[in-house]
Amino acid sequence: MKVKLFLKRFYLAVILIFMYLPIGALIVFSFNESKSMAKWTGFSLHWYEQLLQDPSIAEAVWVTVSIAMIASLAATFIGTLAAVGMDNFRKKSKNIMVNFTYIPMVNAEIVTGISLLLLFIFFNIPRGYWTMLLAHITFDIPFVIFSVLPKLRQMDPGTYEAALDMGARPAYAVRKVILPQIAPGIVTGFLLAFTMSFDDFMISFFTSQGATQNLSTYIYSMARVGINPMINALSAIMFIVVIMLLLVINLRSVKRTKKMPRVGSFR
Amino acid sequence: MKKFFCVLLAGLLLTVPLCGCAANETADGRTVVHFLNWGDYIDPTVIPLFEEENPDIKINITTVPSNEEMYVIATTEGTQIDIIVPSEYMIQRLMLEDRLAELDHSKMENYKYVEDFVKTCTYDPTGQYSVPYTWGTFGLLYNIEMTGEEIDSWDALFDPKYENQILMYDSIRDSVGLALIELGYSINTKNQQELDEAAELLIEQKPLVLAYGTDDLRMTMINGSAALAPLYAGDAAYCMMDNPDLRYVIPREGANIFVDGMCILNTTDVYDAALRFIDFMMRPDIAALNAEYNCYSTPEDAALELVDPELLENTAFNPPKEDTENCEYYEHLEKNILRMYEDAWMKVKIA
Repeated sequence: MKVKLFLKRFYLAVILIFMYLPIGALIVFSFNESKSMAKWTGFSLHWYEQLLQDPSIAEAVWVTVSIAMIASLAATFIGTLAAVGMDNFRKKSKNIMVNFTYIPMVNAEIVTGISLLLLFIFFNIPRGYWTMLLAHITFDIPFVIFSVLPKLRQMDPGTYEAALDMGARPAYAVRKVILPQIAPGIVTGFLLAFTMSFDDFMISFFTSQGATQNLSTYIYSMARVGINPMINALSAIMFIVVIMLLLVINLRSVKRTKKMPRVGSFR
Repeated sequence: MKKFFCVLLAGLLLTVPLCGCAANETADGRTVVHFLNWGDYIDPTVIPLFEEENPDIKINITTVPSNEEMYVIATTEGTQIDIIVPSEYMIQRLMLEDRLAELDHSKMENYKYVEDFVKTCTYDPTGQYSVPYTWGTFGLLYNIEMTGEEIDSWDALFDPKYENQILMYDSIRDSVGLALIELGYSINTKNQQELDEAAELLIEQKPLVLAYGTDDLRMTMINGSAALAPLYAGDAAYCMMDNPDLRYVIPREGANIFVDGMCILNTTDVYDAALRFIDFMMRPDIAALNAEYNCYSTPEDAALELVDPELLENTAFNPPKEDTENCEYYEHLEKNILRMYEDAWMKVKIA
């Protein structure tokens, strides 16, 4: 038994090490004194200082965060409505719509990126922040739709009709009956859209084209002169922030489940 | 439900006019100049300094990692880019395709500082379309502890004595080019015979080579895992800061020299503002700031006087003038000629 327990823990440890060792190395080297990523020359906060002084990185961070935020909010809004609508279609048209929604998701990103670029060129829209934002909303929508649709399918359609029977107007019934039931799907969709948009490279690259730049394209462009350790420092900060956020969210949900009375096997 | 759609439509309609607003002026009336640069290739304090001195101009800087991407973004229809810094062979191509605006030297106070260097730029010897921003060479980096002797020739890369201590650069024109130099030919040769000989030489060299690579070669050299590697001077200067045993030399047979030059695209709407920015970049104090930040050589002697003396001693950053004299620029090659180079390198890779 002891061997089995050891193996279990060992397996878990190996997986965790594989996942977190690279991030650990990255964080350690963000404190390195020299520009080297291979040789430790001494502790310093030099790169963090530089990071705070570099306006183009700050700009790239701002573009990335604001686009991810606006795009995922907009996509959540549009995607949720689309999902509700699709759920109410008849079976055949619903299937057609579902497949249409799949296409942009399974399509290679480079195809999406180039076709959006060509579209913007065709309509003579100057590429920049707004075209990148539109592109991000576009590719985020299917992710929201597919996280909301299963929740709608699980839902008893009777509840909505019951609300109408009780005199609720449709908009009120959507807000009070449908939305609370599909809320977990909406949140998942939002988070998915946010992460997809946050680290997107390919589509951003083609749709921003020189007028604006997010973090991924900025870091990529450093390839010629070598990645500056400022990027390590930035990644370290982002990693810590995300970990903190996750901790807060998890602690809150742990508290909530503790408060709830135990109801045995029910649900 | 209707309300939802109304809000949605309103939202979409709002975004449309925002897309259409003029791209070369900010909300407060400043002229916007779009500058397409290499990543991490300018001192971060330079742009704020320029905007402080020229409050009517805003510089919007974006970055790419290669000449080819710079070309694509700069030449896509409806591009907003005004200034680019391509390397010499790309400048030559852009000149041939008539995409660059002529630079009005009379409006550039600081042109005199680069004038001497410009005369050596065979691709644009009058500086009509470009002014040099940085330059460097593709020479040999070696670890003097491991070789035990000073090296001044490409011969070392083909010397069986250094078996498994040699690194090679994995890039078509750089690698084939250095073999051509070793054989005494031009790095822009259009002669199939010469290219075949170069490929043969590289195939013979293959058993001696520890690894082929590009950016990863720097780490291998810093760690002291290999003794010799052909490298770009900027990379070499960076390695030498981390490992004092490393030496950089421009071999006596010659080497490739490159220049990244600032050019204005002829599609620009803000020529005067762009010219003012280029002029500012040539001011010796600004050129010195950038040189120190990038570790790439500056074409201005006046700027060298302002650079940290420690950096001046670095032979990769500041090679002896006479060494650069028999260096050669890459020329823009036609597609079918480039194909010959690709084939030669492919032969080496699969051998």
